[in-house]
Amino acid sequence: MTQSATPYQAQQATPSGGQIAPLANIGVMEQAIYRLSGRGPNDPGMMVVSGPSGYGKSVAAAWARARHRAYYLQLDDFITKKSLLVNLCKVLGLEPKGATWELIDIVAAQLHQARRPLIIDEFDFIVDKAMVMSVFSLYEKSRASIILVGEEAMPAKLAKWEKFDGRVLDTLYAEAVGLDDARVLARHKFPDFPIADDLLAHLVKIANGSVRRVNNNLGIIHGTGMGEGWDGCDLNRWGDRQLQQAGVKRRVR
Amino acid sequence: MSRQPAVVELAGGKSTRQRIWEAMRRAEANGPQTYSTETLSRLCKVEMEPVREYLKALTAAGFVVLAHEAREGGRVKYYWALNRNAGVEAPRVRRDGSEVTQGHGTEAMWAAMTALDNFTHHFVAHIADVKPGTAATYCSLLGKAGYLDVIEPGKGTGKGGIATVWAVAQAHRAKPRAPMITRLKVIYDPNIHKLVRLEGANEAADQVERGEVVE
Repeated sequence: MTQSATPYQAQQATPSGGQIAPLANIGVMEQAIYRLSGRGPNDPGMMVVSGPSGYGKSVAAAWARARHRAYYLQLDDFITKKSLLVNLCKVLGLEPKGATWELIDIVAAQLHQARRPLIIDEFDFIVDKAMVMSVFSLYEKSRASIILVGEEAMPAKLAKWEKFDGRVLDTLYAEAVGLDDARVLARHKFPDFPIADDLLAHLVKIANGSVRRVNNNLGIIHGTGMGEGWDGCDLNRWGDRQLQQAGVKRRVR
Repeated sequence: MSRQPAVVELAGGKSTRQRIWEAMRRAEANGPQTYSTETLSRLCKVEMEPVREYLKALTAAGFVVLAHEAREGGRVKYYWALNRNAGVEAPRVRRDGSEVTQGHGTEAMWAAMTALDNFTHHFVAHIADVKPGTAATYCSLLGKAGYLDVIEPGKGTGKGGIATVWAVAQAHRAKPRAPMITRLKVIYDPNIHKLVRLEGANEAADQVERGEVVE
């Protein structure tokens, strides 16, 4: 193979042109990509991004795909070593033909040559099935920038695999939804239906960190508003109508 | 017989340039090679002219370098070598080596859509950094072709209008390459190398009736 002699370098992530990332967790993903692309040849090349369900991690992944041409694989409970490689082939645009030992080589080669980051979402499934070392091997063979996205307990579970842990550059935590995020969401979803800050602050309070819940409640408010013929809404107007609340099962933070 | 190395090829439809690129990568599996335009043209079964054109672009971008020249029968022949193997996708470069940017917006939109649970065209436009109008057209045409499901139909336009909430249909979710809308408003799916939606004959007849046919 005629590779250039320079050590592997991830493609320089283009900073988003001075534009402010629309949601806080897009900023977290942006940081992960930026850190990986700026790493030295001997630095580890995997990043962990973790956070509870509904924190907007997948939206951040969508951003990374669109803006950095990141490869993106979402896992499910049916994952096996073979299906992991077959699915990776599909993600990379390769024909998934061959035995497992052949697939690992072509997947690793493509990741190495294309110099695009890989995001693996719902990585918990790999951890729970103790397939972590397969991803370790994939990393060792490709030296690609890999971002592992999972639930909040994942970093602790990963620490069990010491060898793997040594290849993780850093762990970033997704941020709970804030008022700024709520404003961006409201403006984007319903540009012609202003929702006042006091109501947004209330939504953030009852969402317990979940962007998804704020999103759902915005939908409920807008639906009600349309039905009632409002031209906007604030906390006063909303009164004590029903909204989605965070469940009681969540641990207190 | 020893086992042949697995030949890695791009899944789905291939452009001429993709075939040229793959021929080079295939030959490379047996160690570094040099090619004249002629040998490469024969390897990929593509005419000389497009091969020469693409080699020029690849050289300008640094993917290919001039290996050596040889004097053969009074003519100078150039031999090229692959310098940077950039993976299975043929680099999209112009003659001066700069990147072809056309199609980036569509690619970004499709990438965002397939990662999101559901979305409005506003949101896709924001994530993919394209104009809202571009995203709206892409969504509605893909919707007509059955690539997107309507989760919540929108109504009205402009102030007070509600944008349609879309989601990528399950059957198309895992497709890595973005369906493209060609100039004739035909949708081409490079994953299966097929035109997946054409305006029907009835629409054409109606357009003629309305005097909408472009000469």
